[in-house]
Amino acid sequence: MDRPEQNVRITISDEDAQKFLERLATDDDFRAELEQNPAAVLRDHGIELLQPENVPETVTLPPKDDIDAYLAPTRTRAFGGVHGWLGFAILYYVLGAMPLVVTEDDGSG
Amino acid sequence: MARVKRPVFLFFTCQDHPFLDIEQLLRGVVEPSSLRRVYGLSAAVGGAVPVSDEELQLIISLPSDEWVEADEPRLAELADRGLVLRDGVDPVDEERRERDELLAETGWNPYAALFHFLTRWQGIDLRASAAPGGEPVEELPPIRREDLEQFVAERGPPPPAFHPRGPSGQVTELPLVEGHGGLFELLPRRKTTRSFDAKSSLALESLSIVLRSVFGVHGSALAAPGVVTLKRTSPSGGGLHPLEAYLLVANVDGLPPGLYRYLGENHALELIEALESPGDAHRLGTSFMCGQTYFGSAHVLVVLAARFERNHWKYNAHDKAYPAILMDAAHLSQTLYLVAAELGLGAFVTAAINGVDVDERLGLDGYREGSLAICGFGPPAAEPSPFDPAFVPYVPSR
Repeated sequence: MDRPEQNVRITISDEDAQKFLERLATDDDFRAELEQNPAAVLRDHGIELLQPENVPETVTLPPKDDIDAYLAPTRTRAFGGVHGWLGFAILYYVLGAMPLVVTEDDGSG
Repeated sequence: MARVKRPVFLFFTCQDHPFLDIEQLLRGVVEPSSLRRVYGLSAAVGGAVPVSDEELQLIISLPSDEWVEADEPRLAELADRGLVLRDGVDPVDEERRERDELLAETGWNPYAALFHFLTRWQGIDLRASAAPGGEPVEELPPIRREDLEQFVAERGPPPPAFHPRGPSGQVTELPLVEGHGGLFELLPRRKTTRSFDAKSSLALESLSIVLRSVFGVHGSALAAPGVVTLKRTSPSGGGLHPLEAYLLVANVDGLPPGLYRYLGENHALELIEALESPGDAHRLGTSFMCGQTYFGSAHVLVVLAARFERNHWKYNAHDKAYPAILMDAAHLSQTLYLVAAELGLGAFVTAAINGVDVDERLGLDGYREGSLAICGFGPPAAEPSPFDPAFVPYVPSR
């Protein structure tokens, strides 16, 4: 199975879950906080591991670039679905009423 | 001890959301996983709310047709999130109770209500992230070729413009004849306008002609005592004509900027809210239309709002009531396009609107009556919009 189910209870919205991952890909302070106190920080963000005994006191997170690479395709899928609008950087014209018309910078379009 | 019950218009769905395996993440490994989550979809709240398995069982254990006494703390939390109705004087609880009751009283089909109230937008502005890099902009920029190419790369090419299934049966070519005069000459001039003339105003007579021709009543019939059927220039499901026109006037001769209601019975306009200037009207209109600045400069906007309860009087909880109402809106917008073209005006219609915000501003409750789409019209700019396709004539291939 490509995406195994997690042994985790998450009580935040999909949008907040995505923001949580975005912070792990960009925010050094947040990453350090999580690495030093994983159980509490996860809990503060609505993520509860159902087997807390598996959580060490300190952890080392994957590199930011690895998380960013995982997130890249999910960013352009960040509309539709159950919430309809997730507020991330989107291809705005998908939500507008204009046809897909390109204007060249040199005016030749 | 609170009295609670389950909302009638509450649905549940299960969704998988891409996420990372948290246990692997804490070991330094990026391992794709998924969040499998159940959501409560509440038409009265207009949103999707995650629920746990325990909460789901708790909710479905409640009746929806009577109040029950309960002191379970989790029910209070579920009531806060709108998944359980709670009796009492709290204004939020009261509003949710009224909405759930209104949905039933006004004859909403449950699936139509689910679709309509969970797909209404509020506070969306396309300008918030329209610049390269996701930065905000004042005016929506034209689409860059690289953005479109990226879009196609991610989605793949669109299905072809002409149906890809070749003919498998006998083909009879039809004579290439064109109609002449009147409507046949008007139809090719029908088009969407995305740039309006900021230096000119719309004549009041032109506004009057558009409203009379599109939304005016041209006949009435008494089908039974108290049952009046109206005739407009567009068809309507069941002859009910439940669509109303609310105007946002920006720049019309002799008519101050403001929000108005068109009174079809009298062919008159009722002022709802005066606005200070055309600029205020343009800004309000653009926000109504989610930041679509190429439409916001129109001289007049027309909010197409459905009196759902009039349609539902005949089509109570009917599967086809909502599609018929949407078709009514589409018919009216096409008639408006044609009338505008005949008058030399530009026109457009968009369904990308902040319906929640529009309804609140117009004083519509959204349940008995609510917005569906916005049309606009006015003198077009001399130069076409960069968003306009450069159409070339097409002749059927032989």
